[in-house]
Amino acid sequence: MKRNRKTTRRMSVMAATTARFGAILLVFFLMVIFNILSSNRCAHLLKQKGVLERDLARLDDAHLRESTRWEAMKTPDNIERALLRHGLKMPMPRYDQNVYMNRDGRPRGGQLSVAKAGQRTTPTKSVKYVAPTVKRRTVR
Amino acid sequence: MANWGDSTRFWGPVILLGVLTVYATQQLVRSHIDPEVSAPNYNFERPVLARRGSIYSSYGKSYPFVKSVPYWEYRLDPVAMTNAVVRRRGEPPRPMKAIVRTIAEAMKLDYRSVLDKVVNPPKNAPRSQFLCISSDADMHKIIADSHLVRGVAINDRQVRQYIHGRHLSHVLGSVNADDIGSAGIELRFNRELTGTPGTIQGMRDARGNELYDKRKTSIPPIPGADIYLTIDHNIQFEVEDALKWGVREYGAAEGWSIVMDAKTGAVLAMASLPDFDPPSYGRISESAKINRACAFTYEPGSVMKVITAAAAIDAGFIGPDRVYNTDRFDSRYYKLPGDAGHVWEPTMTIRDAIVHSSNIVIGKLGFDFGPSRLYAGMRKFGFGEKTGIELPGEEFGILINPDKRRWDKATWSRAAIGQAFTVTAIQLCSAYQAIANDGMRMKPHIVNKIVASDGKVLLKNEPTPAGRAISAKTAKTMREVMLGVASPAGTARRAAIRGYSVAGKTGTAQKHLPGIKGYAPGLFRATFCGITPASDPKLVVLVTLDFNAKTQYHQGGNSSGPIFRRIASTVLRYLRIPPDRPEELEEFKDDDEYDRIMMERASKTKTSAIENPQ
Repeated sequence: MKRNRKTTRRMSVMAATTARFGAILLVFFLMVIFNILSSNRCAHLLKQKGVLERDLARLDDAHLRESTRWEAMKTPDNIERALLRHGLKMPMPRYDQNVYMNRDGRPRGGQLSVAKAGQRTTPTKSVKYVAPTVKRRTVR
Repeated sequence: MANWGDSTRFWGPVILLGVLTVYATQQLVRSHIDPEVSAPNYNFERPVLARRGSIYSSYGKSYPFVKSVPYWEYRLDPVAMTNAVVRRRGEPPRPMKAIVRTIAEAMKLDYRSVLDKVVNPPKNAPRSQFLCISSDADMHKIIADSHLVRGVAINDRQVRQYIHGRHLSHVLGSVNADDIGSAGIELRFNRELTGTPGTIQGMRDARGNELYDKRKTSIPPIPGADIYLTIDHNIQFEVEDALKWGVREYGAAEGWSIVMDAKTGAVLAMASLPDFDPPSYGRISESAKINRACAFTYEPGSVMKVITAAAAIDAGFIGPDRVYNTDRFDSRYYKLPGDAGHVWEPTMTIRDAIVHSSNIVIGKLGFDFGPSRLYAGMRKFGFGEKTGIELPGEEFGILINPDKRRWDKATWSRAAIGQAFTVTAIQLCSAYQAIANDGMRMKPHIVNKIVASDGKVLLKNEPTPAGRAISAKTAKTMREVMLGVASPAGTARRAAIRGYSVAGKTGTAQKHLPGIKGYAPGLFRATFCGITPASDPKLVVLVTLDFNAKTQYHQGGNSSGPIFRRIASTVLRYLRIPPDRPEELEEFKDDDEYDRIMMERASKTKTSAIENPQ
């Protein structure tokens, strides 16, 4: 009985060692595969991040340039020039030409402008447009 | 528990060994393929430009005055261009002339001039030559295409864009080539406007492209703080437009104007002519660089009579109806100033002396009041010290303390009528603001707030009292007295506005020029400073024209008065301030009729005054 037990034990130890060695190899293999895959994924994401970062900076700059262009277009100077181009000269309305409305769209009471409605002409008058002689400024 | 111990004994070393093996493998592999080891020159450290802060109008972010905008700077490298071979796959190499033509067409430059830069670069010139600076994205795409163009270096740059051009140039100032403020708000708040640049440390591949997965450090830049001014861009435009019209119409050499909120001391507009184009600040004359609204001192002239009278009334020395005789050669006084040929009634009240701007009467008042009390009164109005407005180069003005250095007797009367000392326009405007604000002078300010890029408010200017100049009662009395100036009887009838009451004072100051003893004959500075509506003051407007030649419009009422009216009437409408004399809107059909009738009344008043001299 003792002999048999010894033999059995020796055999099971060998099998276990092989299994453990296989497991170790499998773990190594899996870890290397995982490492490679995660590295690739990281590299890909970082590359994507870089592209998006560049795009963001480009769009940010483009937005800034366009907003500045728009802001330059609506300066009082340019608005007046644009109105003149359409033959309009618009002075600031006098107090008696302003009509303040309520939320319901009706004029508020006690306004001089409302009392005078119909008597006054519009503050807008038509003028002849004279093309500006100012040279266009170029950015050097 | 036994199983747990067995499994720990097994898996523990396995995992440890696994981790060590993976780490060792990685290190081994990296040492062979990693460019950090094989080519250390691929490392780079790049600063990231921080955007300089913007300057906005009182309307906020939608209406900026100045902004930093990204541009591309293109520089030509003739050596790189001639040596480069540019070709698309399957195509023959592009000759140098074809590349030059592409550049010239894309940049809209003259082909020959670009070719000349390549073929005949100037001697002793730097290797790369400036081509152009542009924000055109389409152009950038062409130039950056390495299959089309070579030999053009592209640098990212921030260009300071002054959106309103020459408008508000003296207040905004300018920056130099290194983006450092050199004048105006740009200089005064350079530290706040300048951002903190960021840094990127990383690696590039052989083509020079950044390897994003190898980035070591990325510190983002912190943009500069934004400044919000109290200036309203619409009011500023109207003021500059009116001032330019006035300078042209009346033949003045220079002019300046300030519009101030009567209650808070906030500057709504500030203009100074001649102005300049901010990007060309380095090339303009020194004279054009001066902001005459606060960095220039001058004798104010008769606009100071109001201050003298206010100080005397507030001290209880006189009342507005105190009568003086108009005899210039009164033996009780010493060398009184004359009244330029005016023939007055034998006696005149202080009220009338302000309305008609009598030097003799106010000179006598100054003499009687005495230098110490006059000086103390002027100091209460803020003369002789900086107002503290947030602009560089503000002057103190010259006002000598008579207790430290005696005034000669002629100065006693001269100082009362605005001679023998100098002020800045902002001091004068601030003094009138005190009269408008029931005697309380508020600290003039032009910056509303400064906000950092993270939204933190670095500075917020609330209306701050700078001291009581006179009592509320005196201020009200003075406003009543000053109403007469812009009436048919006064010196500034052309400053009157239909529908609104105007309390103001004219000033026609003689000019002193270097090298001339005394005053330059025939040369004047014409000022009008007004408060409107006088019943409930909302605005203080100062206009001064500086004449370098003799002209018939040299008087404050004739030249600065109409400019004041043009500015104030527009601003009152713009701010929707209701008229305090609505009956005038009924009485007169339009402004032209109002003008005509006012002038008729004025001529009648003038005639009767001359007809009845005693």
